[in-house]
Amino acid sequence: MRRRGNGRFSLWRKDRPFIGGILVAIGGIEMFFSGQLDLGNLQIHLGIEGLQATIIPIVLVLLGVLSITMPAHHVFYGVIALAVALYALVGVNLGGFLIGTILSCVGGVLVTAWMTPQARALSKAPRDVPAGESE
Amino acid sequence: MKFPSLTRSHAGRVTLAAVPVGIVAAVLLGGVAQGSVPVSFAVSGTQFQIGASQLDGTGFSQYAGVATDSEGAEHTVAIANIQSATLTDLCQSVISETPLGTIGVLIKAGGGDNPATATDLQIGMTGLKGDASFGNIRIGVDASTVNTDAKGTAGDFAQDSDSVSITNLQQTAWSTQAAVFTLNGMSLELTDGSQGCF
Repeated sequence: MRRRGNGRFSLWRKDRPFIGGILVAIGGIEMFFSGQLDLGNLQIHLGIEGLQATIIPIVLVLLGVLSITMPAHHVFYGVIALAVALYALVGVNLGGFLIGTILSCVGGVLVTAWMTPQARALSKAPRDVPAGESE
Repeated sequence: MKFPSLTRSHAGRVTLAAVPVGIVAAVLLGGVAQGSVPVSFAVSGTQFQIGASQLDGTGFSQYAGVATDSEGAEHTVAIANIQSATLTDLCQSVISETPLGTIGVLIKAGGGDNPATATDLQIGMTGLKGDASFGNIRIGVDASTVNTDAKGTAGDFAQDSDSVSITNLQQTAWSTQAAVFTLNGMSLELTDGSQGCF
């Protein structure tokens, strides 16, 4: 696959878990709007309402933005995003009717599993097996 | 635990992160399907129907009250409190006019041997039908002296009982709230509004 350009945006993107962070944030936004479902006079709410239906989407959006702006802490943000997205299954309208939880879980996995440029370089370098260690 | 061969590749790290997430998600969803996760319902602004083949409860009281809908209009309702209830074959339906036409929501739970349970259930209803039997009933007590936690205003007519059992319950209500409402085997579907619970 031909890598498209080494333009500034492309270089900036590679330096951070871009797609993962975006997915986490979108999942949070979807969860927030799942609580605003209004069909005429009918409002559907599942789960214990209140502050947690607002805080959880806010936390997820923050984590998505933070993992993009501070990629060095990606494991921390990713793990917390996963924990929060899984709790949202119980706390926010069945995880935004499952969609928000799935988006944020996939994003969280991508953010946690993201490899910093150094880690990528290490994985590409030929591995030296020290004497005495078996593979 | 170290997995050097896994953490060196991107795919390996994704797997390492995704497996615990998948397990926890599956456990949580299983818990929700079992009804071990409490669910609260708030349906406001329209009357809706509740049906159940059997309702058994302890700590029952009933008095007149007012239910306010989301637009602030007030409706006179009979408020029924049940401190602890089990509902078998619970059915809730509401029919609503929306810009997209008539839409109905039909929620069923508690079928068969797995009844739905509710704690501190309060229903603001306008009609109730069924075969009811009450244990230790007092009719004509003051609404502020009923034996449930929720009480009415002094001077109102009320009745209360230690236990209530209603078969083939058909109820039309403005509001339902419960501290904990466990709906085992819940199913929710959108219908075209032609068929309610009864």
